[in-house]
Amino acid sequence: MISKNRIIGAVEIGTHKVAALIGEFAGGRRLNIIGLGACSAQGVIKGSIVDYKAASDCAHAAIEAAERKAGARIDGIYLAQTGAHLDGFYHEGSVNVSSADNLVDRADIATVCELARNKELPAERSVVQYLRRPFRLDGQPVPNPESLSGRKLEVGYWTVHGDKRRISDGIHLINGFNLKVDEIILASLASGTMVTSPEERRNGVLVLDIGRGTTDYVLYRDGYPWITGVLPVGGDHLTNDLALGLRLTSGQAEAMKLRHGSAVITSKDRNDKVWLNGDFAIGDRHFPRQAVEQITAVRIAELFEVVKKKLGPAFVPEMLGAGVVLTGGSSKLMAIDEAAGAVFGVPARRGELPTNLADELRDSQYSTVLGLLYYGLNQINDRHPAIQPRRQAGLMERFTRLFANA
Amino acid sequence: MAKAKSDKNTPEERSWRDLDQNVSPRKMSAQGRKRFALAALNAALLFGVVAGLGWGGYEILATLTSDTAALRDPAGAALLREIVLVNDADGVLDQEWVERTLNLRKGTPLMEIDLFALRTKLLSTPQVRAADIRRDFPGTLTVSLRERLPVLRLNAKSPDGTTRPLLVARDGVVYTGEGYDSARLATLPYLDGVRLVHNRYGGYLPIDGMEDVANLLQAAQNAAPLLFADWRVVSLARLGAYDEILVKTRRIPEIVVSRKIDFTQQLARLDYIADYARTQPDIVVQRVDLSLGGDVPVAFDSAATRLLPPSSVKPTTSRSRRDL
Repeated sequence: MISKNRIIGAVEIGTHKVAALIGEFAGGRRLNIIGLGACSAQGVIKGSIVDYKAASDCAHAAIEAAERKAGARIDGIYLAQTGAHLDGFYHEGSVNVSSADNLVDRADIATVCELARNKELPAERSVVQYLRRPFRLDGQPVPNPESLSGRKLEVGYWTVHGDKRRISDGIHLINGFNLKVDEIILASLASGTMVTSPEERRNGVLVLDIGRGTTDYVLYRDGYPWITGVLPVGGDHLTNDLALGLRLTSGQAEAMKLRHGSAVITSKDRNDKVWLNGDFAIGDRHFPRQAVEQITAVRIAELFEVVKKKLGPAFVPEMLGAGVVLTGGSSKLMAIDEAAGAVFGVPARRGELPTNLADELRDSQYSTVLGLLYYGLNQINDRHPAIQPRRQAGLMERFTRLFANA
Repeated sequence: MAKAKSDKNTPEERSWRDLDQNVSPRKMSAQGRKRFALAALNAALLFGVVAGLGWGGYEILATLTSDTAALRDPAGAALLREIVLVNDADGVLDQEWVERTLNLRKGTPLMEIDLFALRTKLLSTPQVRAADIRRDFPGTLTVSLRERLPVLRLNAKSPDGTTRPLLVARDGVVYTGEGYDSARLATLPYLDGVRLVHNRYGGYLPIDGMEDVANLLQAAQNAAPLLFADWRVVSLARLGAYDEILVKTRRIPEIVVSRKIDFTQQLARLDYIADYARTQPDIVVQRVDLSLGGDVPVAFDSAATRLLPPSSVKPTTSRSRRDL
């Protein structure tokens, strides 16, 4: 699927920033990150593009900077998809094994996968990603049923779909740079791949990517992404709450959140004050620390409660052996892991990026864009051959790609 | 078409991959249009290269398979109609000599003429220093020659006792001159004091030291043409051992010139002595030795009774030990 030494770009259009990374897939198995470009996002609210021109300028500047640093031209883009318009449903399919000797063949696998994915969508919706859960052969989960003996083969898909126009906006934004989108990957899956190990995913883990405008989550079980979702709540809400509660401007509230915000209430003393600016200049004021922490802690706890509620019966603390992992720019809030542990009732930690990355990339705000490349590399290589949906590009298509890739 | 597409309702039919990704350049950003233009240019270049290679390959294949005659004679049967000689200013070899030497028939296909062989043929004549031959289509063979110029002449004795006049060029090559004006050759001094050695082609090996002799002769021609007109014989007998060139003139039987001292200075002294001798009818100079720099021993015959001024020459009546 991936040719040797292919140059791929990954772009995350977030509410806070647009990040572009360029990776080189060496030999189809090794990934070298060769370029990074980032730009403060404009025209994006809660993960959705509301001002195409502003968002386009910003994204193109980031891609151009990444290309310049890499000294290479991108062949295609892996785009992160987020936004409250995303939704998902689970659907299963099952077939009776067709061969007389009850050995599962590729045709059986292809049929059951097609059945599991063949469910009608609401109007004006497009599928973003299919997330397959493990096959079950006569009720027993198996990673690959091919050539195994059994009578009934089942499989289920968590299908993520989103508003067609919102998805188009992101794609056209990339197309406007004369690039094609090769893959759309859920932001939660991308960051989940980066901050958890395969073993943690096998044991069960919930990953929360808390950004400025949205919170993306993915629940892993048995090594498979089980449920994903997006909440239109993020760090901006904490800032707004502080601005309203303490009567501050947005900038002041953001600074207050970063300096004194906490996901749990640590101060017991009502007289413990924190200064707005700390420079004792005209306009500098002080506020009770407890008030600041109370506002942020309540909002964060509410966010976690909403996630827990969204997960519904799928959230089983006993099946979350690896607990909760928090990532994204807003996961830097003080004691946020403590708050998550209290709400979910399982151990929680902040996600850490691999130590072999460059220092500038080892920030949790880059977990999604890094994950795009890693997820793209692993997932696409690991697709089951029987359910490869994409055809090979024809001669004319390859020729026309010259215009896009040259 | 759009309605039909929206009727599709299964996830398989409504993947994000079905969304149209083709954007017209007008709707691209400035950076996008720049990329598009570069990509289009690259594609056009690639197409041009591929098309050129394809056309070239087709032409070669077509020629190889169908038109072997054209491959053998790409100039299209161009025949030799004339030979044009381009000679340098001092050259004396003429058109007739060139045609005789090349021995080409008119009407010979130009492409069948072996230029390398013809050039070798021209260069086998020692008088020709350099030769260049080219085909000028449709029917001309242009021959450019650069010739050796004679600086001395000599008479070589054959084994049968006859003498054969030869010429010596600046680079020491000995050759039989052809086409020269005999009056011009009569002004050349004779060469003496050398032993000619045959080469394997029947000619002679070049004479060493001729470059210095040529420089001396040229300096004499330029600085003192009247003096030079009297020169009869130039001998290299002492050149190898003493770096001396011996000149015999009509008036002075022996002049010794050193090749280590500037020829112009030596000629100036000689000119002075000759002028002085001309004004003194009773003086007959027998020998002038210019090889000692500022001191010029001059030998007179027995009738000589006067000395030259000591400031310019050192008179002597005795023979130098070196002359013995």
